[in-house]
Amino acid sequence: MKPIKIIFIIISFALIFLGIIYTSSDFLTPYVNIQEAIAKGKRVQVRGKIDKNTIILNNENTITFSIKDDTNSMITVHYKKKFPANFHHADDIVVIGKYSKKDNIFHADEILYKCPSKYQTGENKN
Amino acid sequence: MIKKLRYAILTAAIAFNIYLVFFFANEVPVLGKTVRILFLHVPSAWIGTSGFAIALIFSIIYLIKEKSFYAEFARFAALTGFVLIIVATISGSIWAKLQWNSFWNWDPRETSIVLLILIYAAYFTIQSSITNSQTRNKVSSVYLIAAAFTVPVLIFIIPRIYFSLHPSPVIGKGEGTALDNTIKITLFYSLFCSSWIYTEFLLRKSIQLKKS
Repeated sequence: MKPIKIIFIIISFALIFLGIIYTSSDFLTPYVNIQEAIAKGKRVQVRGKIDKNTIILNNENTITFSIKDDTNSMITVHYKKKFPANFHHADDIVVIGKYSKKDNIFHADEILYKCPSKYQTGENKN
Repeated sequence: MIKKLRYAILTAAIAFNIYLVFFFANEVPVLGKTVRILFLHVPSAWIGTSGFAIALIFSIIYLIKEKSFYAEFARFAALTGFVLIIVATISGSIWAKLQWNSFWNWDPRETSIVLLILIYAAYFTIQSSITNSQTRNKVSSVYLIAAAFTVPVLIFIIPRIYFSLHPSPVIGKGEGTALDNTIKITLFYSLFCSSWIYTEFLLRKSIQLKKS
């Protein structure tokens, strides 16, 4: 078999493989939007932007805030742990937890922070 | 004599790089001291990707000229690429714990790099199972050419299609990452130094391969 033939075979396999990856929406990404999180009702990772005006510090170190996703849906998130230090710098976050139908609140036990796109001195967004 | 001088200059350049990394680059808000990881993370990813590109070029040359030197050089370049991509992944994982709050979250960026590592891990497994050196060189070159097609997809395309916790690139379109100037200078100088070291490294290997 000529090398060029082998290359074509391998490339076509690679393309099929990439096609499978591309068409299966949850193979490459663990993140869902708010609609999907509500529909699933399981433990999921929801991506969204924090609405800074809605942050409420509750007692016993928990916080409540709203996030908005790219389809403009909003959801209230209740975070059960201590107030995280890098929370103020974050815009895009991922909340991990479960949506509860009873109180229409997303109960998160973990927050992941997307790296901001500005790293400059004096641009502290506090 | 010239060689000694070259190495002396290179040593001074590396010393200056270390100075920039630890004393010149500003600690900006959010990143703080973790910014130092950048100067290992980005150069290793960059050189790793270059290693795969060099492996591609020399594999093509091997298929045209059929001299074993080219195949062996391509194999070496692929090995350096493989090692450095793993360095980039580990440093990235540590950084992710500090910035994202998770060592490993199967972020699209993390998933795609694992696929790439597996593709090249399979390459070394296949290589060690072939004893006839001519067959091995041929399979090596063909595999490395095919594998090189997955590199741009897995490193550049997939992490840009999906939402990722990873920041967007510094150089490029308008919405790229804005970096503090001292960090930017240090990063570019680190890229320059690492490319230089890598070139020296490849030169030495090629002389060694030609002798044997």
